[in-house]
This record gives sequence, structure tokens and C-alpha cells, in this order.
Amino acid sequence: MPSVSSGHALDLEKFLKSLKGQPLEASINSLISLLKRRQIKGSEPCAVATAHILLQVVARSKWHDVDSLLANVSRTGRKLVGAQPNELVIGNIVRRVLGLIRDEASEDRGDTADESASDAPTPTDIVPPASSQQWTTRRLDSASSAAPAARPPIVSSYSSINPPKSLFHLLSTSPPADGDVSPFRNSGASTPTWRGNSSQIHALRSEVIDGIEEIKDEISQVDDQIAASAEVQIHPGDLVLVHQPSTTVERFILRAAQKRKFTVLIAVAPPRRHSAESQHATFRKKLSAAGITVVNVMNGGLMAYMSRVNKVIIGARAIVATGGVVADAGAAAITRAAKEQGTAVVVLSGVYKLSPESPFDESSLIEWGDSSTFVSFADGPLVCGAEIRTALTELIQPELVDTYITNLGTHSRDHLSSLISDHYKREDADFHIWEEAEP
Amino acid sequence: MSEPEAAVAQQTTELPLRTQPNDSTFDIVATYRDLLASDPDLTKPVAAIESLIALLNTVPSTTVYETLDTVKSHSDLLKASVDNPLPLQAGTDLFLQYLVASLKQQDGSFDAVRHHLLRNGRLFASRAIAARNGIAEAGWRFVREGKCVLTHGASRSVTGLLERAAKNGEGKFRVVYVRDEVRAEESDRVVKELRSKGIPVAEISEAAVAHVMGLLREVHMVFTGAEAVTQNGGIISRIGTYQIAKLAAQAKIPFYVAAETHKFVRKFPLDQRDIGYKQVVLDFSSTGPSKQPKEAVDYTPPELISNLVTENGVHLPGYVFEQLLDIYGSLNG
Repeated sequence: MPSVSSGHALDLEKFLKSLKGQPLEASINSLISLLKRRQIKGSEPCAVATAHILLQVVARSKWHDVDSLLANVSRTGRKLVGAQPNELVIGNIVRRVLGLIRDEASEDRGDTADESASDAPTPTDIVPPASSQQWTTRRLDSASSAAPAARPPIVSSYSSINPPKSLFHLLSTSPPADGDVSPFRNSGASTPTWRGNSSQIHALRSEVIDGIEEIKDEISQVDDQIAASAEVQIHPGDLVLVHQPSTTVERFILRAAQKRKFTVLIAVAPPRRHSAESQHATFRKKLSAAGITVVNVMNGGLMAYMSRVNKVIIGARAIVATGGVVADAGAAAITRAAKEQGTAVVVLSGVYKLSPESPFDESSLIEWGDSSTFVSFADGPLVCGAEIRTALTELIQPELVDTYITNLGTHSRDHLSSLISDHYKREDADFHIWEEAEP
Repeated sequence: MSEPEAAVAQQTTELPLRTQPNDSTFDIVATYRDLLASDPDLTKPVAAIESLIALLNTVPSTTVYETLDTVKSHSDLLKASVDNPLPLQAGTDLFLQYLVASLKQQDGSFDAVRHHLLRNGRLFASRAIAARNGIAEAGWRFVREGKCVLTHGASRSVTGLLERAAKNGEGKFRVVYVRDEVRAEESDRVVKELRSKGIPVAEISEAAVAHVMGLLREVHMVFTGAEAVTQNGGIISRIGTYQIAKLAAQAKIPFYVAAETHKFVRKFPLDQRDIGYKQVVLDFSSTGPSKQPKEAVDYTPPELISNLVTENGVHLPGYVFEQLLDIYGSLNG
């Protein structure tokens, strides 16, 4: 993606370096302002920054039980999401970390809350470690005394925070609210089970930190893993069209270029006044070095080429729950042209960009950019007399996309929902809605 | 079980259901109709489940197979008593499958399962009604400020959703209601209900739908309810839904269906002729006026549906298939 120029990468690096020396609150605030000023932008930098800051929150903020840790993380997360709501990945990473904490905490308890919530008899694969026996008994003790108060007051509202899963829910024995969320949310009374032993807190802390490190590793490996399926997708002699190739797309094409001979059409935005040097120059150099024919296409004349193109490859900024893809502006027109001609559209995206949010409001996903590249601010009549808008991103309708390639493999649109349920806890899926529910 | 629930369960045990002597005289059809008449919030599948629970209450606890047989035969009776058996089938199938699945579990003794069902009859009904609130929660965000929603019929899920959206911002969105002249009273009632919540409503006739959709940017989305959601993700719904869906697809307007998951049914309609029962819409006559079926339905295929809004969130039509496969293990209804 051209927007992630070296300047922004520097800002991210600077920020990551500053993390060590600063107090936590100062780091959070500086990240918020970096996000607001768009000095950190693009999915990957945002995701990396979010993961780093949450790691700091887990490692350095004060917490003595799971509830307060979750509260800390979601409070910070909410601020970050609020700072840049267009970047869905921030919310995704926060949700991943929240889910991680829930997992580790319930594992430590030897808790089978998850099993009891799903009505189908699933074999439990969590073997409670020896130390957790103590937890279990303690939990039972407190369950007899404090449990009635800990239970949520009403079963009636299936608040979307805690949606049931199976159709059997209607007839199931216990409302899932009992075991599923309540111990970790909104219940003060359940905390005694987790208060205490600093060594256990310490263990949980290091487990969560390990988990966040894994998320960071995942983000850094995404491009490589996606590129692994390049040879399957691109065949010798293909004509491949890419639109403003992001680093993910570049890696993908270059990987295929090692083994195959094909032609790449690079669709670029019409040149703007300030960008004198041609775009994607290094990428084109690398491609020519690999012996690949490269053709630059100005965005306007795409339909003319489309009949000859075999594949369109789009790098996603984010994917929403319905399968719609947030991509650089201009991509939607290309995919529509591809659909007209029956050309396959392939979307490349790391799983961390897959958001559980539904696009209730399409316009909220579109990011508007600086229009000064089109009109000089010195041009008085134009500045006063016309409104000039330039969209940086747009939403590609899911029916225009044929295949999604993530670091976990190749998926169809229908498969995305199971990817989402694998990666996010249901109680975290509505992170935004939480925000409104608990002002 | 939380306290209010326990209270509900307590009430249920006190209901004088046991006064009915034995299963030979138990009239499941009458029970079903009573239930539907007594509680206007009840959906058909849940009323069917409630009737079956009432049935369990009257038959003595004998063997498992005998009970399953009784449940099956009464389900068939119940389905035979109504015009459109699909909504009921959603309920009775779910109930039967729940019985079987609970009995398969090692620890699920038959008496315990039976006891659980008998005790919690009202709880199930309240959960089903809560599901409707869940739909409103899951889907009201579609109806943003400045949007215009086209709807028809009298789906309580849809009106619930619109009311939830109105709670957020009164008068900020508008509704186009497609009137059904065969059921003028019902249309009046729904429109009145919506207007009482401060929602501006424009009533149009069924003939005007295509024209209104053609007015650019006037209608932003269509919301309808469903009697039953078929396993391919299509819906069986009030007649007229199919044509609205077709027109919406033509005009590229998103078509959302608000339906509870207990309406999912194992039925794969191939086309309009295959809606699960015999419905005579065409009554050719050279003498008098044609007879119109009262509760006519049509089938809307999944290709025309943008999203299902269920209490579990917003899903693609393929979600139905996954969920049904999950609990039934096969799709041979």
C-alpha cells in the first residue's frame, strides 16, 4: 500500500522504541494521538501498535484479578478504537486479546464454563493442572455462598453480548448466561474466586503475554504464509491484475515469480500533482529482475484490459463479517469490471484483518482523505466554490469476490463466519456495543 | 437457574395441567389453538413445543420409545390440523431431536429430561420471546438515521426491530408499509402501531412497490419476517414476499429477513410448487368471484436474501444449513 511510506513506518518504530521508557498512560496517550493524526496508519502498523500497547497494559497496569484485567484491556481498547474507528484491525486485536485472557483464565480454573454453555456433549480437552484443583474447590465453596448474587438478574434479554449458539438453546437446561460470561463480566461477586495468590496472577500474566507475543508473530508472518499459496493461484502465462499492490500483494506476486512466467498489470491511481516519481518503482524493478512482464495501467481504462485478464488480486485493509472487503479506493470499480467479464477476484488478507462486525453503515467504513493533492489550496475560487472529496478506502461488495486467501488457507465467503467464530469469543464480538451499553 | 427463572418454573409446576386424565383423550390440536389464542406473543413453533410438553404431562412416564412414538404421532396430528405445517414442523422436529439428543448423553436419564421439560415450559416460551428482542438488538443498527425501510405483513420481529431503532432516534428514519387489502385490518393495526412509536409511515399498495423502489434512493432496505426458514436459507413467508424480494434484487436494494432460529426447518423447497402443503391460489371460475386462501404463503429463495437477522446475530443464508446440520446430523427431514 503506498500510504505506508517509510515516514509512517518510522513513526511506528519510534513509538515502539518509546514504549520502554515511558509510563503506561503516556504511551497510551501518545498512541492515541498518533492514530488520530494518522501518523500510524494502515492495517498492519495499527495491528502491531495495538498488540504492543495491550501487552504493556497486561504487563504493567495494576490488576489483581481477571475482571480488572479485562476491564483495563477493554478500557484501553475502547480508547484506541475511538481514536481511529476506520481501522477495524484495532478492534480485532483488542477482541483477540480479551478472548485470550478469558481462555487462559478459564483454563487456570479448570473451568468447564465453555463446555456447559454449548449444549452438545463435547469432549473436554482441558486437563486441569494439579494446581488448579485448589481453584475448583474454592470456586465450589464460593458458589454455594455467593453464587445467587453473582448470577445475572434476568435471562430475558438475549443481549447480543451473549448470543446462544445452538438451536437447542431454546430447550436447554441452563441459560448460557450462567456459565458463559458472567464470571468475567459485570459481576463483582464472582471475583473472590480469583483474588489471591500472587503466583497464580503472575502465571496468568506471563501466559497472556506469551499469547500476545504469538499474535504479534502471527501478524509478522502473515505475508509469508499468504504468499505460500501463490503458486497454486497463479499459473504460467496468466495475466494478473493487481491494484495499488500492498506489501502482502507484492510478496504474493514475487513468490509466484520465482517459479512461473506470467504478466502483471499494475493498476495505479492517476498521478497526483505532488507525487513526481512513479509509484511502485521498486516493486516493478524486482519483478523485471525476476523476468516478469509488467504493464502499468492508469485506473481509467481498466475495462478495456479486463477481457484479457485471468485474475484480479486485491489486498484487503479489512474484511467485515458479511464478506465485504475494505480496500483502497478504486478497487471496487475493478472488481465490478472483473465480475462483468467473469474474471476471478482474489482477496488477500491476514486473518487478523477479518472483523466480526457487520457493516451496518457502509459509509462509516469509508475513509476520506486529503483532497489537497487534487486542488491547490491557493486556487481560491475552487476552494471556496466547490466541495472536493477524495475517498481513500471503499467497501467491495461480497458478491464481487470469488476467493479469500488468508494465512490459514483459501476460503469461500460462507466459510468466513466459522473463521470468525474460531478467532473471537462471542462475548467480545460486539466490542462497540459494549461501549454503548456501559458508558 | 436464576431467581426469576426459578419463579417462572415454579409457576409452571402449579399450572393445572395434570388434571387431564390420559393421552387418549388429550386433544393436542385444541391445546395448540388455546395456547396461540391465549398468548399473542407466542410463535407457531413454540406453541407446538408447548403443546407437546402439555402432552408429556398427561402421558404416564413409560418407556422411552413409547414416549417418542406418542410425541411423533401427536406431532403428525398437529401438523395435519393446520393448512401450513412447516412452522409447526420446525417446533416439533426441534422438540423431538432435543429428546433424542438428551437421551443419548450418558448421564441423561429419561426421567430427568422429562422432568426438566415439564418444569420449564414457560421458560421456553419466555426464551422464545426474548429471542425476538435479540433480533431487534442484533439488527436495529441497519436502520440508521435518514434511512427508509420498506416492509409488509405483520411480523412481530420486524416491528420489534423498528421500534428498537425508533428508541434510538425518534423520527429519524421512515417506513414504507406495503398494505395488504385482503387483510386491511391487520395492515391498519401495524401502521398504527408503528406510528404510535413516532415512526413516519407511508402506506402504499402492493401494486406500487416496483415504482417506489424505482424512485432512486427513496427506499434503502427491505425488512420482512418469515413463517419458516428453510434449510437452504430461503423463507416461507406471507404471500407477496417473493415478489418484493425479486423487485428488491432487481433494484439492488438489500433484503433482510428477521427470524428467530427456532423457525429453522428441515425442508428444501425446490420452487413455488414445493412449499410443503397444497395451497390453491388459482381458483378459476366463470360464475362467481374466486376463492382466495386466507393464510397464503410463498417461497423466497436464498439468492434473493441479503442477510438473515437472528437472535444470534446477522448471518448469511448459509447459516441455516450449518445450524440444522449441527443438531440433526443429517438433512433428511
